[in-house]
Parts: sequence; structure tokens; C-alpha cells
Amino acid sequence: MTTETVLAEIGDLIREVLDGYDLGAVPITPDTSFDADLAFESIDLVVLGTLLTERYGPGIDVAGFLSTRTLPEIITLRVGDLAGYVTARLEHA
Amino acid sequence: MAHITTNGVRLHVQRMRPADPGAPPLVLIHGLLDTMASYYFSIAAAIAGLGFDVIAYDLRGHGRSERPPRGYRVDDATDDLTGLLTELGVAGPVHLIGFSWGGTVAFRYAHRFPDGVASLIVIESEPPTVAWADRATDGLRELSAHLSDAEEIARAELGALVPAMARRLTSRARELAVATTLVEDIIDRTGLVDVYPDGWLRCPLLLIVGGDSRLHSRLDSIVGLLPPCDVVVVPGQHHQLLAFAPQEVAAAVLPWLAARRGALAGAVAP
Repeated sequence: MTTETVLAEIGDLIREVLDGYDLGAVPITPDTSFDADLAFESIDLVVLGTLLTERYGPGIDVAGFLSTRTLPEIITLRVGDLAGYVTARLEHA
Repeated sequence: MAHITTNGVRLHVQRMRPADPGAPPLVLIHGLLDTMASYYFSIAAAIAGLGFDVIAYDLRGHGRSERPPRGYRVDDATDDLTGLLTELGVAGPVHLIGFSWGGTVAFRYAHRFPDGVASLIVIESEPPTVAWADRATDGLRELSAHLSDAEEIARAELGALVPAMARRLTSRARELAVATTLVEDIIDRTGLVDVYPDGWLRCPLLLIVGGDSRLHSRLDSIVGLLPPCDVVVVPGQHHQLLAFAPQEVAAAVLPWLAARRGALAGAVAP
């Protein structure tokens, strides 16, 4: 699965997490910041992580991925970081 | 997303369940104005990796759980936990980890249901006592005095966090303070004691404290309330250990839990 496909699917899941919140003109690209652009709260990232595991299987361990990062790194996380992690895990599955 | 309704409130729950159906259940209880994310970002995955059935939930009024107008006393929290475990079909003793207020809830749960707890890890927490409620009253007064000043909260509580997150935290605190009885409920003294009887806590206990935290300055009196327990002090750290010292917390928690797991499996504990 390509990063582009994963990115598109993560975009759909992000909309599901934000459930009705109007993203307006915010495009979801690898550069999109969860905090600054999407106003994600930390609990939203947890929900997105569990949706990713449901979608791609138990090999996708977002909690494990995030626990290797410092809090400032988690706050500045971008969609591309997560898409890259998922793509890499799927390639090694 | 999993929600469970119990004790009249809809709670957001996430479970990290290993394949082993006999995996011992372990519940993570977060602090005030916090969510299960604190654990998800730090130690939850590693604990699941030890073979525990990890159950994380957002306390009522927090995260993606419902925010009812009332029911924020410590015994409301233990009732919610009891109901949650019943709804999840978890029978038998559970391992508990609590941070800050979540640790106080865990202590209370162990006090009320001594046979329901297999082990207890509390991070920057103390058991609820009348003296604790008095101190919490002062702390909450201090917090509400700064509710209108996001930057102040950022400086006081979360140091390195970005202003956007501090603003959200402030607005969440204000919503809870305005829309719920949380502030008066937390410090409700009903049923609280000054001194615990000998043997009130029967499970193994690990206490983790920041070396520069307010709680650390009173550590002797807190340990005096407890049966013999393991204490780990994380040097140079304040209250927010999960946020700012997750590796140090993991280094204390994981071997301790692995020993509990080993004992359960009949192996020789290290």
C-alpha cells in the first residue's frame, strides 16, 4: 500500500474522529499538524490510533509508536509522521 | 470507539487486550483535567507488552466520556470503576495504576474492595484523608484563581507545552468548574478518615514520586499511612511525571509489574 493511499485513508479516519467538526478549507497533507491545523486534543489522537489498529490490524501500535516520542514531539506531530509509520509497518508485515 | 454506560454515565473505554484469554486485567486511572491519553502516550503499550489486559478509560467529565452535572466525589469515581469492570465482564482482582487524582481514586477503591485489587501503583498520589481534602481545597482554589489566564496555567502546570494546548486545558477546566459540581465534589469529606487502620491495604504497592514535587516534601507522612511498600523517587521531577518523565516511570513500573506477572504465572519472581 502506498503512502498516498494510507494518507487518504488516514484523512477519512481523521474526519471520523472529528465527527462533524467542520474542517473548512484545511487540506489534509503530510504537513498538516494535528495540533496547530486540526486542533486535535490528545484524546483525539488516542481515538485515531485505535481506528488505525481496527483498519490495519494489531501490527499498527500507535501507542507504542507515540511512547518513543517526547511530549513536545507528540504535540507537533504531523499527519505525514503517522502515515509514514503505518506505511512502514504494513511493508514489514 | 468503545463506550460503556454504567452508574448512569457513558464512559469512553479503550482496551489493549493480548491474545492470552487469561491475561490479568490492569486498569489505568488518569488525573484531573486529564484523559487516558497520558497513559497511551507513555506506558500503556509497554504494559500490554508484558501480557496484561490493559483497560484505559476517561473518567466522567473528562476526555470522550460523558460530562454529567454531578457525581465527582471519590466514591462516585470508585462506583464508576466498579460498574465499568462489571460491564466489561472482568471478574477477580485487578491491577490498578493511578496518577494524581487517579491514584487517590485507586487507593479508595483498594480501601473499599481489598479483595478486588491484585496490586497498586500510584504516581504522585496519596490516599484520601481529611487532611488531603483540605490541601486539595487550597489547590483547587489556586487553580480556579488562574482559570482566566491560560499563560499562567501553562507556566504553572505544563511548562513546556504549547500555548494552544494550555488554552484548551483552561477551557476544559472552566467548563468542568461551571457545568459540574466537580470542584465541591472532589473535596467532599464524606466517609474520609484521618488515619487508616493497620492492614487496610493488602496488595503489593508501588509509590512513584517526583523528587521536586510538593508531595515529595510530605513523603514521610504519606508513607506513614501505608503498609510497607516500594517507593521510587524520580530526581529533578515535579508533579507531571507521565508527561515529562515517561521513561523513568516505565523503568520503575515495568520490572515491578513483570514480577507480579511472574508470580501470577507461577514463575519465580525476580
